[in-house]
This record gives sequence, structure tokens and C-alpha cells, in this order.
Amino acid sequence: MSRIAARTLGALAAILLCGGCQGWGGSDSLFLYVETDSVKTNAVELGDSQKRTRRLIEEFRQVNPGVNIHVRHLPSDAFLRSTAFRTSRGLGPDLMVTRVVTALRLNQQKLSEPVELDPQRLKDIEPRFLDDFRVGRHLLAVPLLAQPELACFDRRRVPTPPRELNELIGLSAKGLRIGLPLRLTDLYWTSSALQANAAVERLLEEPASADAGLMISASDRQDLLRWLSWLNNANLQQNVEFADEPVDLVQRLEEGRLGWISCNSLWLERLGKALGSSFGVSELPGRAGEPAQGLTRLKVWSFGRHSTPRQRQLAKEFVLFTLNRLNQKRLMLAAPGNLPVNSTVLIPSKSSAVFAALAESLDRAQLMSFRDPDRIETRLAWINEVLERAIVNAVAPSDVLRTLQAGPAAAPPSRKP
Amino acid sequence: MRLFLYEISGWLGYLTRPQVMLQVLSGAVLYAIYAIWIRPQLLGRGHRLEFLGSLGLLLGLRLNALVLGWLGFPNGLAHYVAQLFSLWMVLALVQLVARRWFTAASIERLYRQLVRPLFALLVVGSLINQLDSLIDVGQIPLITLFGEPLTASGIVLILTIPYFLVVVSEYAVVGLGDLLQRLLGFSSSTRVAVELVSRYVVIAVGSLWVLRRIGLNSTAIAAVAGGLSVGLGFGIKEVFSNFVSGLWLLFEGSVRPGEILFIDGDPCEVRSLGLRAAVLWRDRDNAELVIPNQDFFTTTTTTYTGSDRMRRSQVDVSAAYRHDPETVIRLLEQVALASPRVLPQPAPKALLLSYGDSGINYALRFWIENPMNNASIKSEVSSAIWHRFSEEGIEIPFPQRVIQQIVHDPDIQQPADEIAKPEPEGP
Repeated sequence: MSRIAARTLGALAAILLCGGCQGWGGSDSLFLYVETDSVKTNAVELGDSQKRTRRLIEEFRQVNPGVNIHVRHLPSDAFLRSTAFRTSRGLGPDLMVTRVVTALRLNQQKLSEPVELDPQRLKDIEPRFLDDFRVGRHLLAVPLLAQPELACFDRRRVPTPPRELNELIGLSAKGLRIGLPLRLTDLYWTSSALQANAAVERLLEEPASADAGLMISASDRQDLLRWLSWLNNANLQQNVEFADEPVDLVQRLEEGRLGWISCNSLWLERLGKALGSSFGVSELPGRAGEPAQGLTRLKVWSFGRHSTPRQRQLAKEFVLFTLNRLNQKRLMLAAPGNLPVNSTVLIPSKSSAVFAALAESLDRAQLMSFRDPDRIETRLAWINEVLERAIVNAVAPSDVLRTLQAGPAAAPPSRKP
Repeated sequence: MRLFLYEISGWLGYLTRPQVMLQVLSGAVLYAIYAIWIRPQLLGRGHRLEFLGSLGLLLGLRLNALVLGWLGFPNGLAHYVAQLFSLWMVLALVQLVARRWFTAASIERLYRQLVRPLFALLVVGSLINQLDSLIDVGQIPLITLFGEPLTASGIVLILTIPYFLVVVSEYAVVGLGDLLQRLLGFSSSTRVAVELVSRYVVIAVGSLWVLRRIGLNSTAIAAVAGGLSVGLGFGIKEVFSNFVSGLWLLFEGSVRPGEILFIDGDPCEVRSLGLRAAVLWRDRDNAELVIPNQDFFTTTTTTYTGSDRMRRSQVDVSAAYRHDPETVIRLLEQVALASPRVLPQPAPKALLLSYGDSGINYALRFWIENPMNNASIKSEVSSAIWHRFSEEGIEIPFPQRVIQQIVHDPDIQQPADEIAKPEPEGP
């Protein structure tokens, strides 16, 4: 046997022995993947979350000594691909924190595994967050935190936030610069304010036929037309801007180029730091004095497929650790904009206007149904494209409606994995 | 550093997974079978058989991956190992095939300097990427340098890029030199000078790029440069002097690689002109002389390749007094012209130098193309002269001493000066 061959085999034996040591009483390793919003917003979105994650892990290690948790942050457009790549090697994560749609697609692609958790330890989790993930006694995913949609503004320019859409447009007519997102998930609240949200939901879920396009009822057509007309009207306002990346709106608000934007709560920390005491948060404007309903994002846990029994047990322990009352409260306070899914945690609405707005937005918020995540993602991507074209080219609402009714051309490729 | 070690130690945790262990073990077993039983039997039985043996291992690794997949186990790692091994085999095949066009030594050099280190980097990088994100691991800060955190990727850049700059620039500048020589009609020595200077420029620019890339602040670089200038004044003055001398010599053109210099009575070929010293090759004993560059500045240098590469050589020979010098001179010139390695132009020239004690001394002067071949060509010409003189009946005289023993008879009184008188030397 040549020297090189002998050395290679020796090195392999050493590695295998070291690996074996871990299973014989050495330290345990747990691999955790965290999905971030996109490549562009990765750094800003994470902010101090890496530090918070490390603190949480350190606290977990105090009660489970010898457990090493390795965290990786992956942008949402690469999350499924990266996870599939490593899972095909048996090197997939033990735990993942993702959006709901990603969690469902992980499950569809057999990159995650439903697990059974002690129901007693989940009894405090809000049922409306948990029930969608139940498959018999198993859970496809476990909710971790909620991030509602709300209005963010500069108090110096908006002393009293608008309660209705008309007020918002009125303020823009008086010179207030307003920023609106272009993605349907972020614009959903405008449809609720115009009582077109049910029609929008059906638009997302309705199966399309190749020849007839989408079947949209007459009342839904009216609702959609009303909503599209409002968007068109807003687009024609001199002081209303649309942006396809939420981070662009956040940046413009920080720089003072905008006075009011609709934003997800995940941006609160950054905006709070930038604007200081001038930063204001409120519920989204609706109609007839009632706030609008936004879509709430959920961050959920999913379990990897190739964990050893020990790793799976530790992963379950870690998930339940993050869901207990104390840690949910800590997460809420340490990461502004993230609300607990544990119903026993009290949100300090009375002492903080921000938390009050968050809590009210969350109470009112809708959760998107993801019965068929692939279809929803594809349909969302298509509607986003239609809306973008309509806003950029100032297309007449009736034409936009015709485009929507014609349905997606032929399974347009989703921009998200 | 702690975070880096923490991440690396975590990778071993994957080995506790049966799916990973199965892939690693099955690959290791196949390799062990190949290394212990198959390869020793094929060694020394020709490249073709050895290659077939490796091909067998590759097929085994592929089959192993397919079987694992068929049994429902993850098999990505097994495929990855097979892919790496097939790449290694392709490289080995290219090395074998390239021997048809290039020398084995030059290919081996290329592989040793460039291909194998690149392959090793590829293996390490891709393996890390299998286990973790190469970018994430690269961004882990390891140490602090001049107040700036130096990441793992920065350290890898510092360790590898200068090496590859030095190695790759050597091959790249040869192509550049060749192109410029064709376009601008450089002489070979100018081409070498251009190549060397280009190489220094590439290495210098590349090194600065690495320093910038790893995020070393410009103040720190200026501080290093300041420290170096102080160092230049004291410790490394000689090194810097030699470096500047080397650059000067390159442009001056007297000591460029390929030039022939006369060092200590021997013609030597300049092999390389380095940062500190020039390396010269002496044909006589195949020795390499390492001479500091600044020595060429302070001492007289004799070169055979200043304006051309020709050397005038000379063979001294004597002929007996009885031969007509005109005949001898003609014969000598004919011999030189008949010698294949003697240049016909400038024409060889024989001269009568002097009348010696034993014969008339002649010199045959002729020109040769390569100064390094002087000794062997002189030998050839001298040998040809002997044969030609022999054919023509021309005697090459040499001193002869006749010793006559005198028998001393005590009865006969001889004068003392007669006994002491030396015998005359015969021709």
C-alpha cells in the first residue's frame, strides 16, 4: 500500500473515530437554518438578530450543556435549493425557521418531516396559528413569531395617522409623501379597506382553466374593479410612490423622502433606530373609522429529515424552549416587531404605543391560506407582475381586470423557489 | 478563532448520522480495497493498466452512489466523492496525453506547481461547501490585524494568492512575451526582460489587490511601507540594492537570462535573474553559480552575447621548420572550414605567430555560433588538424631530450667544463 493511500485511510479512520466520539458522550451538534427575506435585504433585515439568536442558544445550552447549535442564515430565494442540496447528502438541517409558504414547500418536497410534540406543552400556542399545520397528531410546522403589517410614519409630518384610505389620499393631496408596496401580500390591506379582500383571496385560490382563464363572479369583478380603481387613483397622485422592494420604502422614510409608508413589523427596529422619537406606528387605514386588515407573516419551525434520534429530541426541546412564556416574551422585547404566538404572554400595549398598534394589527390580521403553496406562490408572482405593469404603465383598471380574468398565460415560472 | 473552531467542530456532528456514515464508510471501504489489494498489483505494469485500475475504482464509487440512492438513502456525498475522483482521473489522463507534445519534466512541473495545488484547493473548498456555506465560513473573523478583523477567507487569500501569482504569472508572461516578440520583433533577451518585468508588475499589483481585498486599511499598509523603508536603511539594504541592480541589469541588457558571461575564466549561461541574485550555469562542471546582482555593477563583466552570440575561438598548433608555412596555413584554414560547427563567415583565419624552439607556431582562428560549445568545437578542430597533418605528412614537433651517459674512467683526465656541458636538444 502506498504511503499516500495509507495516510488517506488513516485520516478517514481518525475522522470516523472523531465523529463517533460525538455519539459516545461528546458534544451534540444541532444544525439550524434561518430564512431571511431576500438577498437584498439580508443584512438589514437580520440586524441584531444574530446576536439575539446566539443569546437564545447560550441560554438553551445552560439547561442542555454540551449542545452545539450551528446557525446559518439563507435568503428566501436560495433556501429551498440550499436545503435540498444538503438534504440529498444527509447533511440537511435539524431545524429551520422560515415563512409559512417555505415551510409548506419544504414539507411538499420532503425536505422537512412532520413531528409529534407534547400537546400539553403546546396548549398555550394560539390555536389560529397552530391549527393550519396539524396533520393528525403531527405538526408540519410549529409557529414561532408573528409579524403583522402596519403603518409606519414620521411624526413630524404626520401628527395624527390617517384612519381611513380617503384620509390618506387627502393627506397626500396636502403634500404628504406616501409610499406603498407593489407586492400583493404587502398591498392586501388596501383590498380589505375597500372590501375586496375576499375577491382577492378567491383570485389567488381559484384554479385557472387553459381556455376560459379565471372564473370571476360579477360581484368579485365589481370588488376588484373598485380596488384596482383606488390603486390607479393613488398611482396618479403626485405624492404617492410605489416600490417593489419594501426595503426601498423603509430607506426613503429614513431619509425623509417619504412621510408615511405601509410596512411589515420586521422593519420596526431599524426604523426606530433611524427616526428615534419621531417614529410613529399605527394600524393601517381602513374605511368608516375601522382599520384595515393586513396579512400577518408567521415565522415557523420545521424539522429536518436526517436528524439522529438524539438530534431530533434536542431539536424538539429547543423548539419548545423558544415557545415557552419566558422566551417568547424575551424575543418580543429583544426583537421589536416580533409578536409572540404564545397566548399567555402579555403584550405591553398600555405602556407602549408601538406594541399597542402591533397588538391591534395582529388581532385584526388575516393569515394567508396555503392549502396549495405552489399554486399560491405562482399566482402571487403572476399578480405581482400584473400589478407592477399596471402601476408602471398607468393601465386603466378595466384593462387590468381583463388581464386578471384571462388568467396566467401558461404556468408562468415563479420567481421564488 | 473560537467561532471558526466551533463551526468546524460542528461538522463532525454530521458523522453521527447513519446516512452520512454509510456514505463515508462505503466509499472508504471501496478505496481501501483498491489501495490494499488492487493498486499494488498494477503498479509498475504500465500506465494503461494503472489507469484501468483507477477506472475500476471510479465505477465502484459511482455504483455505490447509485445503489445507496436505489435503497432510498441520501447519496449526494457518494456522488460528490465519485465526481472528485473522476476529475482527478481526467487530470491524470490529460497528463498522460500531454506527454506526446511536451516533455515529462515540464508537465510534471506544471502539475506540481499549479494543477495539484488548484485541485487541493478545489477539494477543500467544495468539501466545506458540502458541509456548510463556503461564503459564511469565509466571513468568520479569525484574528485582528492592524485593528481590522481578518476573516478566514482573507487568510486563505493571503496564503494562496501570492503563491498562484508567482506560479501563474510565470506561464502567463511567457504567452505575453511571445505575443510581443511576434508583434514588435523583440530579441530573445529583450523578450525575457519584458517577461520578467511584467511578472514583477503582476505580482506587485496582485499582492496589493490581496491586501485591499482582505480589508487591510490603507493606514496600516502605509505603516508597513514606512517600516519597510526603515528596514531598507538597515537590515535589508543589500536585498533592495540587489533588487534594483537586477532591474537595472535587465533593462541594460548585459545580464539577461540566456546571456553568456565569462566568469572566472569559464563561459557561463545566465539561467535566471532573481530579486536578489542571478543564477548562472557553468558548462564545464554543470555547476550553478548564484551571484548577487550588485556584483555585476562593481566588477567588469565579459559577455559573449552583448551585440551577437558569436565567439571567436582559437587553436594553437606548431609545425616543423621544414614545412612551407603557406602550405600549413592553407591546410589549417581548410580543416576549420571542413568542421561542421565552425562558421564559414567570418572565414577562419590561420596565422604564423612565431618561430619557436621546436617548430613554427601557428594559430587557427575561427568563429563559432554558441559560445558555450567552445571547448568541444576546439577539441573537434584540434583533432581534425592532427588527422590532416598526419595525412599530409606534416610533423607536429615537440621538445625531445637525449640523455647520454658518460662512463667515467679515472685514468683519463677530462676537463671539468666538458663534463658539465649539456647535450643539445634535438628537434
